[in-house]
Amino acid sequence: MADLDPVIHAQARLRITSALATLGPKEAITFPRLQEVLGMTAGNLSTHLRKLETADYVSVEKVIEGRSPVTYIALTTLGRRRFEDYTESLRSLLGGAS
Amino acid sequence: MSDFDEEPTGDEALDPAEMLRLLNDQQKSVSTQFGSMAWTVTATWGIAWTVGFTSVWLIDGLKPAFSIPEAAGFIVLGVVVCIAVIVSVIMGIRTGRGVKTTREEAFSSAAYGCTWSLSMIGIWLFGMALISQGMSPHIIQFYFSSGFVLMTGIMMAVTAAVWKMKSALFIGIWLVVIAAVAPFFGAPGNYLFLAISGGLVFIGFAIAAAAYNSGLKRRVQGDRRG
Repeated sequence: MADLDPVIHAQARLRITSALATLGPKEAITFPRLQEVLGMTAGNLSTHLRKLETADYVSVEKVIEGRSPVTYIALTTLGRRRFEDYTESLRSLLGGAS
Repeated sequence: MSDFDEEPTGDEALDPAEMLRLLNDQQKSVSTQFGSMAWTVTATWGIAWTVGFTSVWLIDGLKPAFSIPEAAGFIVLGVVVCIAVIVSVIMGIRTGRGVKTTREEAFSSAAYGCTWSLSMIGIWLFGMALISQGMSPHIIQFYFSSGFVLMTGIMMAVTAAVWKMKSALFIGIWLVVIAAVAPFFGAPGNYLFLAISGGLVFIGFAIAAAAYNSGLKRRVQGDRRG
């Protein structure tokens, strides 16, 4: 289990990175939409996003659209690579299962 | 992001096999939530075709025991198809909400949306041209019903290619086949055939998809905290 990235290797953070990895490399998702898609509470999502942001796996961009502040979340290049490495490690650990 | 006074959950890991299953389930769940072929759109088209084609079939299909006026049958078909188009457009817009995309992706989505209208208008205009060249009222009954279903099938195949959705490809193939086969049932049998093979099959698919999606969502959210 030593090869599995501890930042991703937690249920909530794995769900977040898996969801973000379905977006294109230059795409981002708003915080409320990500919360809706994952069915997580705002507080819990914030907590885990902060851990991923600290590791530089996700970027959190705050912009003003119209007159409202909007927070966009995306996987960074490093985060996408780490997620792919994590998936690969899981598969090889399980003997090449898909 | 703001802070909330809440105990964080979902910090623990499962065994590797369970984690891989969670990863796959989560990605499938997100794809189905973002997919333009949401089960509500499928259900809407299923109901529209069942009601619409059955109405047209009822003009002559149960004569002399029962019949509805010709105008009423076609008006019902027109109204339900218009409602289905509006629902599809609204759902298509809603599924992409909250996602900041690239210019290339936005162009693909816009081109995809326009192709639906373009193809349907094309079938209609081609039909009008054939009528102006003497297409008989008997053939008209097959042309428009099968033409629109055929084009919907092709658009479903395009959906499969654009959104990488296998289910849309299967639906597309099915629709192309039933559109081609429908004229063999004669008129008005072709309308009843399309109502059942198109409408009811869509409703069945929508129910199965809804059950699958909600099961998937429950699995990734359910016993796993977070």
